[in-house]
Amino acid sequence: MIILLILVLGLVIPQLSPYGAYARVAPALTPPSPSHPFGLDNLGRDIFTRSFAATHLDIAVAVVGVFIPLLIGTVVGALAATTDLRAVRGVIGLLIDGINAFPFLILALGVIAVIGTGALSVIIAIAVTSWARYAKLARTRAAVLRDLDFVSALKLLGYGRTRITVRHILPNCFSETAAYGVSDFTLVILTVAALSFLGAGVKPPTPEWGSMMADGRIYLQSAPWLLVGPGIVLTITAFGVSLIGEALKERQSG
Amino acid sequence: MTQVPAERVAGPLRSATRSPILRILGRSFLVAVAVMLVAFSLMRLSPGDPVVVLLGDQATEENIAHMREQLGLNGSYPEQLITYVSGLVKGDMGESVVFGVPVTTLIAQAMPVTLQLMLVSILLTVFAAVPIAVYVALHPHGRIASLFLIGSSFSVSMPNFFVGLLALLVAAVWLKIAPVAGIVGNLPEAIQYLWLPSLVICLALVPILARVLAASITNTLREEFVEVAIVRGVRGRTFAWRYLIRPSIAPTLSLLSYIIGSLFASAVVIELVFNLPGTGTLLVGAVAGRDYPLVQGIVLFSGVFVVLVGTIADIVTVRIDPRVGR
Repeated sequence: MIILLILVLGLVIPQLSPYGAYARVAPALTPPSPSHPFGLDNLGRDIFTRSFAATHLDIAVAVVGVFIPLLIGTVVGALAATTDLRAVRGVIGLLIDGINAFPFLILALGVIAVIGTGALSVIIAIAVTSWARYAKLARTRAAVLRDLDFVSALKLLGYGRTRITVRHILPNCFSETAAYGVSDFTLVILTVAALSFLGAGVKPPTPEWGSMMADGRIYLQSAPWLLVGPGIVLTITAFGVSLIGEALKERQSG
Repeated sequence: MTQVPAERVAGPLRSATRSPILRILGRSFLVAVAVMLVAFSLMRLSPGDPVVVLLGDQATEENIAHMREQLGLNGSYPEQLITYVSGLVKGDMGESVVFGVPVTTLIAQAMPVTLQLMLVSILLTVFAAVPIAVYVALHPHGRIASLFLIGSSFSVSMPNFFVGLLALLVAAVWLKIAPVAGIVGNLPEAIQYLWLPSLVICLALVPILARVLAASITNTLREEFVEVAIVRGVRGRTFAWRYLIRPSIAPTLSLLSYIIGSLFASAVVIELVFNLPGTGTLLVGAVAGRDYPLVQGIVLFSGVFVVLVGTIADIVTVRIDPRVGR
């Protein structure tokens, strides 16, 4: 619900707003007022408009940032559990544990240091680091499924390993990793903003929560509204997503 | 269980792995090697030539050759890997491109700040999370428990840099009960610089720890020995520690490496917000300046550190709870 509201507001407000997201409308650092609910930033742009204009980019990057590793991780994890080659199993297992050992944000920063900044880089950095978490889940799940009776039955029916893996084990793994993906969404949204805040993500002047707040940091004492606006919108969005995750978890556990 | 014959079949090579501690150490060593390989590959992910990126188009042949040498990019990948590993064995992580000093020196300088920040944060987290977890587990349907559930969802949704900046604004600028930024000296006197950033970090960690611990205590409550203790009339602190918390520690300890990992990650952001000269600030600067060896060093360090803590946690788990690892 909250997310839907934010998305709709994100679509509507930049359209309805009398000010553009890049337009300089009034003297810089004007405090919040009825005509500018979140105030104006250091370049005299309307923070209210910009905070909601950022919604698309941030949520889009996060959606892709959840979806790609979800896809890669589930497939790799399921294959790692079902293959008969011990070497492959061992190497993939170690790679998964090796990547998972790194603090998420730090490895993502490392990747960005090498490939450069920008929205695409953020997605790549997140994909490179988080697929391993999904793979670990999928591997555990597939290892359990592999030994279940219905898989043995399928083998007896003469179905090949590929068919069993693709048609029966993979979909089962996906339902588990997808559920995790929803709760991972909160983390990814926050990470996207954090990377931009650290100057390693989306660059100004594009409206983005993290980089807006990084810009506002130096005005903490004189004009705190520079970071309060985007901070609140970001928090509400992340909270909305985590509520969806909680609700799904509750429904699953019955 | 059916594990016994499997071990017998494995033969003499496998017999050493029967000791749970040796098994943990062996696994951790392999993971540490994987961590190192990831850190090694990281720098080779670069779409372009990192030397050209660093030096620009106008670099002379000589400069390029020198930089290549400095980054350890000479020869084939296996050769580079050998150079890298033999350097690491000698405690050499290369030289920072920006500062011109060994990476290890820079990390060693920044490390104490980060470690102290992490120490204060984890102490605060444990002190806050344990009572909450015990209370929530004992009164699962109370008002406090549902408040805790909502509150914990909310506090993990707050971006830590936002909370950090707000905390600075309120505590340092308005109330003037904390210094605006920076750090002087070490613990214990540095606590006046560390309490606020630690508080911010622990705000996101307490819910995670408390949730796992509460779930674990709820499971423990179903055990027979707890019922026996209640019937026998064990009460108060002995009951809480010996019958509730201690048996519930094992699942929580396995979370420790995750907690240390997220602690490390939040330290990056929080150090920047509070102007603390730790590894996080160093890393952000290194990323901005494309200081590849320094980035690689810090990334590797964070991974190895987490593996190390995880190993210790696993060993402690085996020692503290004899049910695990058999």
